[in-house]
Amino acid sequence: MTRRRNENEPNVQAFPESDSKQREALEAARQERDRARQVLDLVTHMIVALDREGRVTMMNRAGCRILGYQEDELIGKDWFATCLPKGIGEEVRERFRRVIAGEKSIGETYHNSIVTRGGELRLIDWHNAVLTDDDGRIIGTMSCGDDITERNRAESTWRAERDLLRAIIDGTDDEISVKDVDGRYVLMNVAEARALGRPIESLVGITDRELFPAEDAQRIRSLDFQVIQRATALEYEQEFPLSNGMRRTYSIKKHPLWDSKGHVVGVIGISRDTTERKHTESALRQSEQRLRTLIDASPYCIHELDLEGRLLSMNPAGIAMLGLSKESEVLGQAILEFVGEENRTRVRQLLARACGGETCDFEFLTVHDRIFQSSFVPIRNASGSVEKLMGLTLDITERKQAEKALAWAESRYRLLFERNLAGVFQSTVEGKILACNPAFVRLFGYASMEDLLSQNAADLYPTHGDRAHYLANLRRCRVLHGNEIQLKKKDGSLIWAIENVALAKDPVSGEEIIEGTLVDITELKAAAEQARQHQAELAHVARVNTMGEMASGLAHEINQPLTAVVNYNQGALRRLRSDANAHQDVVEAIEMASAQAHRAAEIIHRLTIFMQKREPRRCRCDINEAVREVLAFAAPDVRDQGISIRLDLAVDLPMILADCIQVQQVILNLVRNGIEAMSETRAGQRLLQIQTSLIGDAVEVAVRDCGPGLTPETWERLFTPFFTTKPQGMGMGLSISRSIIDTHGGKLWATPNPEGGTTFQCTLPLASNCG
Amino acid sequence: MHVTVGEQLRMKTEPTICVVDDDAGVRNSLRWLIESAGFRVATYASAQEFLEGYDPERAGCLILDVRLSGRSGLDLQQQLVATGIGIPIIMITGHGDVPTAVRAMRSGALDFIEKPFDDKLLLGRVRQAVELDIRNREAQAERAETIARLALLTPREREVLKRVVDGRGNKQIAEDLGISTKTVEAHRAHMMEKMRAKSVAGLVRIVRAADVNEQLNLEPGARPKRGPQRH
Repeated sequence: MTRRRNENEPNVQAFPESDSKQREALEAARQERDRARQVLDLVTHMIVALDREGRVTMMNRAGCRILGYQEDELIGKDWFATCLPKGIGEEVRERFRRVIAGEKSIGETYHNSIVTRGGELRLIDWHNAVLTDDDGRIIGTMSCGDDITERNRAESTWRAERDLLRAIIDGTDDEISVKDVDGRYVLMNVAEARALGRPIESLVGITDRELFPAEDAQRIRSLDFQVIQRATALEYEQEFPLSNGMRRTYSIKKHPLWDSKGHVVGVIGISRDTTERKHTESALRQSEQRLRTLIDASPYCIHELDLEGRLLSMNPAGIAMLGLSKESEVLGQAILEFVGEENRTRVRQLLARACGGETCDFEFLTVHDRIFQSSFVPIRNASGSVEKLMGLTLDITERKQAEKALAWAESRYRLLFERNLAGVFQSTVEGKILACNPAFVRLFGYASMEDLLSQNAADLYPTHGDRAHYLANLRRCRVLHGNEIQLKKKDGSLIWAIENVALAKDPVSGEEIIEGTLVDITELKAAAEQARQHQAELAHVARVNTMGEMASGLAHEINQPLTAVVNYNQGALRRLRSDANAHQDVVEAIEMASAQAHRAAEIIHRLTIFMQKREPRRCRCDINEAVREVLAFAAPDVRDQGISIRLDLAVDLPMILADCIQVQQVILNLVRNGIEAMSETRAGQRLLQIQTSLIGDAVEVAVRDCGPGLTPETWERLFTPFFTTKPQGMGMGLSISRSIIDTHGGKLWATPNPEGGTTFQCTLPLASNCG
Repeated sequence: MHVTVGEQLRMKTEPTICVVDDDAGVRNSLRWLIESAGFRVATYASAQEFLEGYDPERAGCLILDVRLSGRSGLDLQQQLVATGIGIPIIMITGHGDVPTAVRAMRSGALDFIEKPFDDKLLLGRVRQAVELDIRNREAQAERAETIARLALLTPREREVLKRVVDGRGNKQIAEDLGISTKTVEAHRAHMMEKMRAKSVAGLVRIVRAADVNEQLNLEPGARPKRGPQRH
């Protein structure tokens, strides 16, 4: 205390001491100051004075106590650095600096934390004042601080509790309000305000009269009044109209509000909107009703079982399914009674599992040989243990039979599809192949179905244009029957196919698809083409045949004028011979004309015999004679082609028994073929050798040409009907020849000559061997 | 020697070669050929034409084409045979088939020749045919004369003739007929005169050549028929 006084001395000593009056005044002031000092030390607030630099110039006792310092420990210390927490200190110093500089007026009140010597933070509520000298200059500040740390703590605790309560009542959906005895609202929660459709502030202080129609308000008021009068709680339900016109149902509780002295000072109302619950209950009842109706009307057997498998209930459909008429007939019966012997063990096990909490689905045969499908669901009670089983059973006998029939039909159709010899396919219009059978795969020469399915249908056409043309055609006609198309195999070769195809709707996707069958007619077509050629050749044969038939008539026709020529010639000759003056050379010319006419007639005669349609007639023939006859026929060809003929005819050949004309026909054919074969041979080297010989019991005729020989293909098909290498040929010669020789019990064959060309040989049995 | 009927005929009528062929070329050329051998030729285009134009009095032969339009050559041959026209026939044909040839020959054709003809062969056959026809005609004429003379005989003379031809002597005849030899001799003399036969041999030749057995009623069963005719 002394030191503090001493420290203040310089300020006091600043006053001039020369004047006694002034000294007295100074003394008076010192006394005054001491008294003030005492006062300052008495007050419970802390009082602190700071000079312009913020140094402590005074701290009262309360301040020292709070801060835990002696006053002299603080005098002269920087207040902000010493007694304020870091962070706050500088902020407050700045504020102080600006006050001292006069830039800012000092706030009347201000609170901030200080830090005690022990490091404890205390919250101080300050009342500040600026100290000035006589000239009004600011020399420092004086602050009176109230330690509000404890109060502040209590207040925040109370506020927290209040906020909690508020949160609780605002957090509930129940509508809570408090009214005083006069019916004015003094408090309400958010739910109430929301229900009334107004902000809380506007509701406090008003009565129900201002909120509800007079009638409702009156009723509320009388109930409130009842609570206040009787000082007992009240519980009831009431409907209220809402601001939006709807009415809602409330379950309402009213309690009296007591004050600390036990007087009723108001009414606490708690309202709960039970509209939803009411609706829910009603819906539940309806739902229950609907469910019951549904179960009763259901075509399925719906039933309940106890854990022993006895029936607790069954709907009418179930009773009918069992062939019974009343529920009472089944109640209490074990469901196993209805299960066929062979299925009982299994059903018993499954029921046990259902009782264990599993949902079980199974099929079984009933005692009446029906197929039932059952589904058992365990029903649990509130505690979670299985109480009973709910079963749903269907009679699937017909369905099973239908499925079986369907599966059977399906497998039949599948086999029909798989085994079909025609290629069957389904594709999209874009060409994606959806399905096809093995025949289809084979048709296109693909190794596997996957191989083919990876193709686009457009790739199966010779060109993409073909596919486009085909699609256009299909779109126009929708259905194509017997459509002949050319298609491309995997190896690129082309085939002809006949196609029946239609545009259809895919039963699943509803898209337009192409369905059809294909049959490979490539060979058929080739055969048809060959048949067509044969037809043409046959027509030719027919023409030649007709020609043969006409030949005898023609021969006659030609013979007649020849006869006339001969007659005239002979007549003329006879006349000339009797005329001595006749020119001898004219006679000779006429003789030669006669001879030529005879020759022509002779040719016609032979031809007529050769062409004659006649029954084969075997007689003894001289093969050499036949060869000579043939050469007479072939004479024009031999001459025209410049062929040399070498005859090597065996002498004293035995006769053969044969149809001479037919044998001539064969030899003529061989001779003509030989001549033909040498058409490319150099002129002068065209030699045709004809040899007859006796080989064992047969006569052999060999016709040898020196042409280029036969190609392998020709060798292969040499005796095939209609095979020919000649542009004008029919391809019948060798085939007919062979059949003639066969008929005669001989053989006809060909061999290549070592020096080139071909030799045709035929044998004919001797007459003695032919019986 | 007196001139026979045949000789008279030959002198009176030159033989005619008939040609039936529907082919004008063949027909006309045949005329040309046959005429060159000095024959008279008549040509016909059809069997019908021939039947209408044929003069049976004329000697000759028929050259007939087997194949004719209308009635065939074979048909005509058959018809001529059936009506007793004995003209010799040479069948000609474009190309002969054996059955046709056989048929023609069986029906009495002289030959069957294929066209075109060797002129010597054909003309040789024609000559043969004409000779044949002439002989036939002479025989025919002699027979007619014989028959005419036979008609002059009395029944008794005819009886005698028959027995003379059979080679019986007068005595035997007299015995056969129950008359005297003298009477037989008288009948015989009349008969020989009426028949203009100079000798028995001549009589036999005439009767045989005429093949007149029928006219003589030499058949045993024919006699009763004759009786009523006489009365």
